[in-house]
Amino acid sequence: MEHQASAHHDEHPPTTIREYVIIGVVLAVITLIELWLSYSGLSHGLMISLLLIFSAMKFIIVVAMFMHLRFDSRLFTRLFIFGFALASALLIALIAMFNFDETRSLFQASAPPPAATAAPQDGGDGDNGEGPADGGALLVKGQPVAEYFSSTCAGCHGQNREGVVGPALTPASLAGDDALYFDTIKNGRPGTAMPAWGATGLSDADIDVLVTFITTVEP
Amino acid sequence: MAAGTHEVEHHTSLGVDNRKLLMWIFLASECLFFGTLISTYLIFKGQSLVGPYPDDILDIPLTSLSTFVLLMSSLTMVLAVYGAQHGRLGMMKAMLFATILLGVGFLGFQVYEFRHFAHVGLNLGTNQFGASFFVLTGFHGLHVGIGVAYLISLLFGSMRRSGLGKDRALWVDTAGLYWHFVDIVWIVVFTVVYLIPS
Ligand code: HEC
Repeated sequence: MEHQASAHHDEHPPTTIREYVIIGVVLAVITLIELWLSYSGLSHGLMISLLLIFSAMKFIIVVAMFMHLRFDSRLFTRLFIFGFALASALLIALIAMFNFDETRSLFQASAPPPAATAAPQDGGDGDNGEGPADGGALLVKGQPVAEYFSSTCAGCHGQNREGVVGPALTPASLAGDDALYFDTIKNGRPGTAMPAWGATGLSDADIDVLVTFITTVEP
Repeated sequence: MAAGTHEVEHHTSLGVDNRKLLMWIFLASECLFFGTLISTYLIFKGQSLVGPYPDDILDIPLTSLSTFVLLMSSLTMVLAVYGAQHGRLGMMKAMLFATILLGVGFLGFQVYEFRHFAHVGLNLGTNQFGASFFVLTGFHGLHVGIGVAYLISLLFGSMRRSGLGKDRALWVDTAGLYWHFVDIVWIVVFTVVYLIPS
């Protein structure tokens, strides 16, 4: 009307009430399909892909039609895509970072293990020394046991296994039967803070290594 | 430049309305806000050492219902924008009111869910699931709450002044953008948190 610049494009999105209602019904139907999918017992991979596709469809329909991006200035679309792309990149980077498995890293696989270096108990920064003296030859989940211990157990049992929330775990302090410690690590101690590591995917072989480590290797 | 020539329109040299531009920039930054929370949820997924675990307590049918409520609120919102843009004041008010009701309905579901979870022993400090779940859905709920307040203020505003200029339509339009954004965030959260099995 009074403004010249807006005269060359539509004042309002050309969608009619009827069309809006149809879009609303479509969105509801997609949600129903998603609900059905989540109970369908399809294979995990297929189900997740389908769910992601359907929610992406809903996402795009709402943004394009309800938020009028289809009809509005391209600038808005670019702005939104920019923010969305940044967020997606952040998501991918963060998840990749936390799932990074250094034992599968190309660099680690070819390089020889570093020679014994600094003090082994410096916070599990991945540079702990090698050699049986500190349990470096024993592997848990592909990681030297001392490293695994310092990143997973030390929060409760201390970096030097001296005991914090949980008791000290050194040969001197552990007089009991290996089977008892095996059971404790695998099944936890119900009613205490000691978690059941078997349930988090730690294998029996790994637990054996941990038991050997805490009952024979001096900190 | 444009300042002073129009009372009602605030076009930038880009040829778009200032308020809409501001809202879109804000929404782009909100993408990162929720992107971070969703990433955190995914990273913590499966890391909880003690229960309750998601599979034990998430109620998918109930949440599908609340998802439906929020989707329908997007429909009423877009109809409110339609009413505002076509000068149909009554329709705009009725649809704004319906949107507010549906938004409050969604929040009701969420309050029920949170209380239920607290009852079965899941709270912010129970495990990684509790921490990331409550922070993610809690911040989303907060956004819905702010949206409800935003719409209520518009509804009251539209009752005080008479007539319906282009200006009013733009305010409703901008509020609609915010509302729909909160809806699409939920579309993602619903899929990621509730539907995708652990
Ligand atoms: C969340 C804190 C926590 C973490 C993490 C933790 N523990 Fe424990 N652990 C405890 C507590 C507390 C106890 C004492 C339980 C009790 O009172 O019987 C304990 C007990 C033990 C015992 C039995 C000691 C004894 O003298 O009977 C062993 C063995 C043990 N933990 C090994 C491990 C190993 C190996 C890890 C890492 C994979 C680990 N713990 C991680 C808290 C923890």
